[in-house]
Amino acid sequence: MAEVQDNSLRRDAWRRLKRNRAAVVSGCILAVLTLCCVLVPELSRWRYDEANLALGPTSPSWGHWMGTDYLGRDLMTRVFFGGRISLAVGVVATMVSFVIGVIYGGVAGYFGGRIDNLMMRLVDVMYTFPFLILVILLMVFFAGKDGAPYGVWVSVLGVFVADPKDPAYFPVFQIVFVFAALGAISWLTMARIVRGQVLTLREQPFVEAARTMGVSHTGIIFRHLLPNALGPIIVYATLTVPQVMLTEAFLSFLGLGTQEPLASWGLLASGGAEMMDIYPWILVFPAVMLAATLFCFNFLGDGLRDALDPQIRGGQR
Amino acid sequence: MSRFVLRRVLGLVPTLWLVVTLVFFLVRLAPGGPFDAERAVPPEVMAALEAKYNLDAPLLVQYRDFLADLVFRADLGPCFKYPGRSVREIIALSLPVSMQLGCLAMVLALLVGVPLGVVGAVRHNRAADTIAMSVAMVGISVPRFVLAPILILVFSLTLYWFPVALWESPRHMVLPVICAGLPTAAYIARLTRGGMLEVIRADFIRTARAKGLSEWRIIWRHALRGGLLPVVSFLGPGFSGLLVGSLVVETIFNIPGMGRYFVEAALNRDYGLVMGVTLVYGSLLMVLNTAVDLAYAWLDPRVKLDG
Amino acid sequence: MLDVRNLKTYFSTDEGEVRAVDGVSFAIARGEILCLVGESGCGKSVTAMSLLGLVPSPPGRVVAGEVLLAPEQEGGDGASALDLRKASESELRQVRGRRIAMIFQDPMTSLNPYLTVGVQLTEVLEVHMRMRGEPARERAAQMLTSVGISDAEQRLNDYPHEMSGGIRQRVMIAMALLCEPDVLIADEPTTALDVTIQAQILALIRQLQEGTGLGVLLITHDLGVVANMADRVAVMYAGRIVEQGPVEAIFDDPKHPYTAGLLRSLPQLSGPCETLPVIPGLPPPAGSTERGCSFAPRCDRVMDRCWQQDPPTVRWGSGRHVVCHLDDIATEDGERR
Repeated sequence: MAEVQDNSLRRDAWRRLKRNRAAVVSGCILAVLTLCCVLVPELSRWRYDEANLALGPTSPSWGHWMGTDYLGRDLMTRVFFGGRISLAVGVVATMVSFVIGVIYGGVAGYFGGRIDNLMMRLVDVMYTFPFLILVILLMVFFAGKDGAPYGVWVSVLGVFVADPKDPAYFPVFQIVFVFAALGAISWLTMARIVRGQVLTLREQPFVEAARTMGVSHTGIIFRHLLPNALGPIIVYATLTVPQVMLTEAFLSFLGLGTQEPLASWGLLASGGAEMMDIYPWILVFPAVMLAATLFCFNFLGDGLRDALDPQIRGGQR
Repeated sequence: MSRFVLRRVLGLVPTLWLVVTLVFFLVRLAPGGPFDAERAVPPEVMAALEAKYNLDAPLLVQYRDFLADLVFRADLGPCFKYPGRSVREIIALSLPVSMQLGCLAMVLALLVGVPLGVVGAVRHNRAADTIAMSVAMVGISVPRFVLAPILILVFSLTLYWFPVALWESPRHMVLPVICAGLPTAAYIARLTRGGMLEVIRADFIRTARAKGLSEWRIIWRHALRGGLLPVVSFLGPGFSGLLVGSLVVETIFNIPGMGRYFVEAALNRDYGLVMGVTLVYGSLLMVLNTAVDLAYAWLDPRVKLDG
Repeated sequence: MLDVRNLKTYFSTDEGEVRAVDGVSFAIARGEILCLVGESGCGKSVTAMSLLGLVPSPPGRVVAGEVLLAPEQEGGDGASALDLRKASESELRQVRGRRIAMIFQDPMTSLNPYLTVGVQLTEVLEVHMRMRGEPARERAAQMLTSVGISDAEQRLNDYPHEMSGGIRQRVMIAMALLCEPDVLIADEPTTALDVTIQAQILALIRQLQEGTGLGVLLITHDLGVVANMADRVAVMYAGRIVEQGPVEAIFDDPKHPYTAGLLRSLPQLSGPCETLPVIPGLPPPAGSTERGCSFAPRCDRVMDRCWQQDPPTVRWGSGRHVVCHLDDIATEDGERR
C-alpha cells in the first residue's frame, strides 16, 4: 500500500517538476556546467597553473576566450577547473551533512521520548554555537602542514599511495578539510527536518504493520521511514549545496579555503574583485559562474519543493 | 516569562564556558606562536616575551589564570600585535562600529525583505511575485565580495555618490550597509513569502474574508503575524550570517570594526584577541537567539516558554 | 431574503474544467432554515463560498447566475435587490459579516490562533458598525453570553487554543451574529464536533434563529441534522440540486431515487435491526457528465433515456421540485416546466 502510493506520488512529483520551466532550465544549465567543468580543463591548450608572466592580464581574445589573469594564466581553464572544486565542495559537504543529519535525526525521531528529547536538546545547544568562528579557527590553525589533521591525512593516505607526503597531495588534503568542516557545521537543520518527518511517519499504520511483522529497527528506519521522508530531505539538501558553496567562497575570500595555484570560483572571484576597475573580466567570469550555479541550485530546490510538497503550491483544491 | 529569561541566561553560561575552553585550547595547541612572525628573535628575547605574557607556564595554569582574569576582572589580557593596548580596549573601540553596521544592515534587510515577501505572497504567481522573487534569488546568489566591488565601481568610482571606504559619516555607511544587508534581505523576502503563502491558505483567513474585512486589514492584522514566524526564527542564524558578512564588508570597505581583527588575530596567533572576539561574538549570538525565542513566543501565543 | 438563480462555479484544474456548481437555484425566506444536503464533494461548500464571492480564484470562478439579496427594509422585492455577483468588492465587503454571515466546519482552524477572541469579535463591530473600545467589548461580551459562554468578559482575553472545540464554535456563531445579519450560512458547523456538543450547537442555532427573521442556509451531509433543523431541504448531487422541497414532504415521499437512497441508508430506531442499504458506487467528480443524468450510473431505476437526455425539472407545487426522468413519466398531471 505504502509502496504503491509512494510510486504514484513520485510520478506526480516528477510530472510537476517537468512542468516547472525554471527548474528544468536550471537542471539543464547545471548539467552543462558540470560537463564543461569536467571537459574544458582536459581539452584546453593551457594548464590551469601554467603562468605566463610576460603576457600578464589580457582581455578576452581568440587565443584566450575569457582572457588571462594577473599571472597570464588562461582564465577559462582556471574558471572551469575552479568549478570542479566549487561543485565538489558543495556536493560532498552536503553529502557529509546529509549522512550525519539523516542518521542523527532518524534515530532521534524513531526512538522518540527521552532519547529524542536529549538529542534535540543537544542540537538546540549547538545551534547557539558560533560554528563558523570555530571553522575559521580550524582552518587557520589546522589546515597547514604542521597540524594534527595533516598527520592523520598522511597516515590514511599512506594506505593507498606510496608517498603520502608528496606536496602534490597537499592541496587535496586542504580541500578535503574544507569538505569535512563545512559538512560538519551544516547538518543541524538537516537533522531537525529528518526528525520531524520521521516523527510524523512513525505513527502511520504501515510502520505499525511493519513492526508487528517483526521488522528490525534498522529495517524500519531505512526501508520504511526514510524513503517516505525523502521529499523534504532532498529539497533541503538541494538548497544546502548553494549555501555550502557560498561559505566556501567566503572562506576562500578570507584566504582560508582553496589555495593557489588551485582555484575555486570563490577564490577566483575574490582575486578578481581586487582590480575589477582595470581588469573586470577576471572578476566577471568566475563571479557569473558562481552566481549562475547558485541561482540554478536554488531554482531547482524551489522546484523540487513545489513538486514534492503539493500543499505549498496553493490554489489546487 | 522572567523565569524563562533567567533560565536561558543561566543556560548560556555553560555553553559560553564550553566555547571559551574549546577555543582556548584550540588556539594554544595550534602550531606556531604569537612571536613567530618577528624574524630572528634571539632565544633570550623570546623567553623574556613568553615570560612576560605568562606563556611559559604550564597550559592548565595558563587556563586557570585566564579564566580567573576573565571572570573576576573582565580582563582578556594584552594584545600581542598592538603592544600597549589591551584586548578590552581594542574591542571597546571596534565593537560599536560592528554593531552599527550589523544593526543598520538588519534594519535594511527587514525593511526591504518583508514587504518584498508580502508582495510576492499576495500577488502569488503573478508578475509582481515573479519579479520580487527573481530579485531575491539574485540577492542570495551573489556573494558579498562580488556585490561590494560592483557597488563601489558604480556608486563611488563612476557616479561619485558615496565614498569608497571608511566609516566616518552617514554617507560612508550607505554602501557597506547595503552590501551587508541586501543578501539577508533576499533571504527574508523568500521566507516571508513562504510563510505568508502558508498562512493565507489557512481557514482563519477565509473566516476573516467572510467577516467583510478589507484585504489590507486581512494581510496586516491576520496574516502577517503567522507569516513572519519563519522570519523570526531565521533572525538568530540571520544575525550570525550578518556577522560573517561583516567580516567581508569590513575588510573590503576598510571599516575599523571587529570582524577585521578576527582573521588577522587568528593568523597572528594573537591569543587574547582571538579569545576576546570569540567571546563577544559567541555571547552576542546566544543572547540574540534567546531574544528570538522570546519574540517567537510573543508572536505565537500557542508557544509555551519552558526551555 | 436571499434568492440564488442558476449559479455556476467552475474550477480549472490540470485535468480540465470541473463544474463544481452547475446551475444551482434556491431561495431562503426570512426566518427560514434551508438545509443543503449531499455527499462530500458534491459542491455544497463551493456553493456557499460562491454566494459571498469567497471562491479562491484562480483556480475557481463563478461563471454565471444571480445571487439576489433583498434590501434591508421589510417588504423589498427582487426589483431593488442587490445582485452580489455584480456587486463591487467594497459592496461585497459590506455584505459579508454584516448582512450575510458565515460559520465554518472546523472551529479549530477557523479562528485566528494569533489573536485573542476579543480582538476577533470587536473588529467585526469596528468594521461594520464603527464601534470601538469599551462599547465594542461590552457588545462582544454580551454576544458571548447569549451563545452560552460564561465569564464572557474574561473569555475575551483568551486565545482560541485555550478553548474547547464546542466553545470555539460558539465563538464563531457569536462572531457571525454580532451585526445581526439577515442570513447565516453554516457550512457543516457540527461535523468536527463531538456528538453531544453537536446537539448543543444545533439547538443554539435554532434558539438564536427563532423569532428573529434570520434566514439560515445549513450545509450538512447528516440527514439527522436535516430532520431536526430544516424547514426546507435541497438535495445536491454532482453540482446540481436534484430535489428540493419542504422537509416533511421530502422525508415522507422522496421522489428522486438519490434522495430515496439517502433516506434508506439512515438507521431507523423503530423496527428490526438489519443491514443498512447503501447506494452503490461513488459520486462522480462534480460536473463531469456531459449529457444525461449524472446519477444514472448509480441509480437503481435507471432507464435508457437517462443516459441520453438531461433530466427535466418537474414541479410538484408548494415549492417542491425534482430533476428526474422518472417523475416526468409518473406524473402526467405534474406541473411541467
